[in-house]
Amino acid sequence: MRRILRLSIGTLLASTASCTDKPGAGGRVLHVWQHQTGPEEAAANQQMIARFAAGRHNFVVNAQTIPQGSYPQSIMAAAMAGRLPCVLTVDSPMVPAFVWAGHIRPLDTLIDRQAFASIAPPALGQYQGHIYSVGQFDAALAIFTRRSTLAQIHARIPTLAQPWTRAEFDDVLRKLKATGRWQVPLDLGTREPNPNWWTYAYSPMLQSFGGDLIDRKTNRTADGVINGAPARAWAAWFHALFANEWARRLEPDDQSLMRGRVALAYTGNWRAPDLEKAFGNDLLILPPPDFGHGVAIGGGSWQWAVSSTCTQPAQAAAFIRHLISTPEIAAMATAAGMIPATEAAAQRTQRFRKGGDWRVFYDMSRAFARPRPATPAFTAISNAWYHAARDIMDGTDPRDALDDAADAIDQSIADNNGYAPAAEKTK
Amino acid sequence: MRRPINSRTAAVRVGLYAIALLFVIVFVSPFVFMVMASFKPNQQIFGDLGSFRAFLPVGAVSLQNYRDVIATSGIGSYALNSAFITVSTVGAGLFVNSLAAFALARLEWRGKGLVLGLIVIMLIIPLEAIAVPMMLLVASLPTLGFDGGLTIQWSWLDTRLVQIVPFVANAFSIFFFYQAFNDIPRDFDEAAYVDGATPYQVFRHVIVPLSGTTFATVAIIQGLAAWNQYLWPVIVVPSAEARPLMVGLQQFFRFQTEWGEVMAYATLATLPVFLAFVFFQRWFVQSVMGSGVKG
Amino acid sequence: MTPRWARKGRLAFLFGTPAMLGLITFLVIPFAMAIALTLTNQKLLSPQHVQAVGLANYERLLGLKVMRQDGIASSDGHVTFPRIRDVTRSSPTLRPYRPLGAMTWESTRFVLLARDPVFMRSLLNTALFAVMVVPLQCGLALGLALLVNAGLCGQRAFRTIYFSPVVMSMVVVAVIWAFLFNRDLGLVNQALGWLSGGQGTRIDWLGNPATAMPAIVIMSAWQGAGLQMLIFLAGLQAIPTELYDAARIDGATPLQRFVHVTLPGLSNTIAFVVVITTIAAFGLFTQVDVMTQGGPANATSTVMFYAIERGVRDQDIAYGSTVTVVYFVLIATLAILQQRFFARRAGAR
Repeated sequence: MRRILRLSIGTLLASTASCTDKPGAGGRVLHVWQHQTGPEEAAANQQMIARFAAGRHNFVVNAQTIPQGSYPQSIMAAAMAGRLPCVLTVDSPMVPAFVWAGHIRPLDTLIDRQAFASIAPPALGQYQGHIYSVGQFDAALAIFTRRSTLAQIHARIPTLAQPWTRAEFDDVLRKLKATGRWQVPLDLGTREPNPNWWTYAYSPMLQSFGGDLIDRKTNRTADGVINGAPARAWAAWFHALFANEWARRLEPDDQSLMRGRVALAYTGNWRAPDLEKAFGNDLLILPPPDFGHGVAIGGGSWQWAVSSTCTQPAQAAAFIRHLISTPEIAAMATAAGMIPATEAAAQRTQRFRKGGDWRVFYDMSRAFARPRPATPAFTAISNAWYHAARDIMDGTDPRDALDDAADAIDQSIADNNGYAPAAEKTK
Repeated sequence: MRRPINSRTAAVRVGLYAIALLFVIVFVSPFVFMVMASFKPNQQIFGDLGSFRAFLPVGAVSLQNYRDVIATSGIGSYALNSAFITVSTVGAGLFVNSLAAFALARLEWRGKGLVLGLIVIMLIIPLEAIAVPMMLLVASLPTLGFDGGLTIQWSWLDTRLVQIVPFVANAFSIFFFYQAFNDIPRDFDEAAYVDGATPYQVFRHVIVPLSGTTFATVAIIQGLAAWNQYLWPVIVVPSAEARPLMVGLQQFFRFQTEWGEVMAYATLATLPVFLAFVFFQRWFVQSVMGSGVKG
Repeated sequence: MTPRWARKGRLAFLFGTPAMLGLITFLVIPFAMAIALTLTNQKLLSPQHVQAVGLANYERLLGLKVMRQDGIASSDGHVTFPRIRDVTRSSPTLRPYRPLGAMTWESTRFVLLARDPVFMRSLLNTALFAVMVVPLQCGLALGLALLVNAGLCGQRAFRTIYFSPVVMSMVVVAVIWAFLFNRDLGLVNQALGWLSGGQGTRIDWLGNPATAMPAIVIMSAWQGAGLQMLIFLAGLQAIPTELYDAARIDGATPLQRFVHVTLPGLSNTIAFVVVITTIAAFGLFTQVDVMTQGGPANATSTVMFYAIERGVRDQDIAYGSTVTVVYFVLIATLAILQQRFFARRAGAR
């Protein structure tokens, strides 16, 4: 009897354990984790990794793709189990949190800083004076529309030098709504339930209004910043978009512009290929409006980092050097339509070189990109902002919602002893 | 089935049929809509919604959504995970719980009453109440792995194991088996023991063969719970490798905008349960009615 | 007297061990952990040390205060009050509190403040859900059971169809209904449009704080009623036919028979069904997680959803455990109270 039991439990253990061949132990395998992306980017990554592996016979690269929706939780679970891969992708604002938790190590101790000199700042994950991550590209959000749509209401086509003002933008929306052709004229992307998207997409608008998420000088308090007067002005404007039915809180899919349900869509450069296919020359890619303190868009996209538990730092470093070489950056930009992280790589592409039709993204990224707060509290900030913005959209009093966000952020900072590094954890 | 009311005019009967049919529509139409939408492209689903076409297989009907879902969503491996989890949980659960119930119902030992009382108390602790600390617990349990050699990993997170082992032992199943075993006359055991049988043989050759319906009932209740499991894997299985079907559907639903594909996924996820329901309907019904009255 | 052959203490121990080991490891220990963790500041993953914090988690979760505000009368007799958050945020003792509700009485306003208004809101939402779904689902189930039991041809088919949503996964059901409830495309609004002859405005069911919870109630009752229907059917069939015959001889109308024979005969079943439906209702999570993520404006945040949000997604294990412990105390109390209530009613009869 006892033997039967032990046997059955044994087989159960073995049969489940055998499929958890996770990275962690040493050996000649370089484990690489990346978040799930669009098919073009995924294919480009695969080729990049294949080119890296081709020249190396002493070890193999094992690359795994993790769904983006649960990527942070997967990293957390792996870290708790002590089986983080050697190399992993990380969303750039998460870098300080990963450093604080001890997941990743400084790249500049593995690779000479000189190697990063030509990389644009938004593509570098820096914290406490070290470089922890590097990306091949940046992304940029823009207003997408059609030339014919703007012509219909005789609206001025804005430029990088002279973007729409808030008054102009509101006027465009009002006129578009008045044509009756669109039930709502604007898709802001609010169907996306991911807090980090809300921070990426809408906190730059807050900055353009003159506000911010947190006091950037100290990164210790959000009170008076996220709920300051500029933030209240942003909130009133944001709420009005939905109250006036200028934007829908939940589009049934992400094809609103493509299918003609809206006239303007606020979305990223990764949508450009599809929209260009659909609209050709009629497609317009415009900078977001200037709400008073300059145009702002989110800077920093997904980047690569090396885990602190990595047992093959030399190979990991070689991998990082490989992926930031000019041909690799150019290849990614060409294949996936992402904004190259260096000018040299941009010049090697059709679309991002000077005069190329997607150069506008490159220029916008260089001119308007603003980093998100570099603090381990970012997740708390992002969640608080997400809830506040959603509540404002859904009709909560904007001042209350923003005060709640300020309190939640300050509470989280206090709960975690100011996110003091592990070394000075005792008080 | 007896009729509580005998004298009834035809009009009342017609009215009752009308109400019964109305409820059939209410209960069936969402599923019909799901299946029909799963064969249509997004544009047409939106277009058909204004009319009864939403419930009919008309227009550009194809298997394209299914092809796309199978190719892109990972549904195949999620379904395998769910099947493995369900079969393992039910298999191990039937054995472990019935054996414990046998000890409680058919063997005499000191402390039996106490253990039985404890099990009844455990019946009322829902998974929800302990899910958060249980996550911390399973995050520090060891598993064996094979990475070059035998390795021990100190975490059950992101495994299929973590979706099986905690649900094998089940207070409700034990209690249900216990009640059923108690109803079997003792003479059977006695006769077998007189013939020199061991208690395990009595269990295996006397009790189990007499309890087919009970086993089917417990298998259905535990199996359904395992297949439809959601809260627990949401907490402990973040990455795709060990992900079960329902978490896959939720992810797909949140990050996918092709409604036809979402409906195709939902249809595929429902199909096994639906088939099981059609074939084993009698037991499904019996399981609820039995557990309801006795529990 | 127990026969000798049945005294098998050691064997019983052996047979019972696997199950007991499982129950202890995955039920008793986590339950004990839940209680212990609430007294700490345990995070899921933090480089900092865990500290004992006493009852601070409970204080933060359950802290309530009433604040009295005196209105400022303007020249035209209009009474205004200072903004609540301006008062709380500038007072050191009220700083951790946020407004939950307010009641104005002449020129005085009483404000209920909570340390964690989202939790209080979630608690209220959960209770609201239970108050709506329990009568609806149990009533629907009883109606369906009577219908199926009325001796129609094809009653088995009806029974099967009404029961079918129960075996479907709640995730699948929630996904379908999320579409049915869509404002512009959903069939629910279409059906309402047909019924009202194109009149009335379209309802953004899941997007409007006032309708989101009722929408989840409707969907949940639809999915679950088949289960209670079967339990009622079993109860109905247990009522002796003689009672109906006797009532008929006495000349009772169908309604009288229902009130004086069926309902009393079902009293135990009704008690059982109400208790299990209530307990299930307090565990509301899946529908919310799939359809609304607690929104809009926290209108569908429930106790369980909040526990998972804080405990797992915000990685605050200690606080999430505190929510679940409070939840457990709540449903245990409810179950006991309901049982007492039904027991007393049965005794009075």
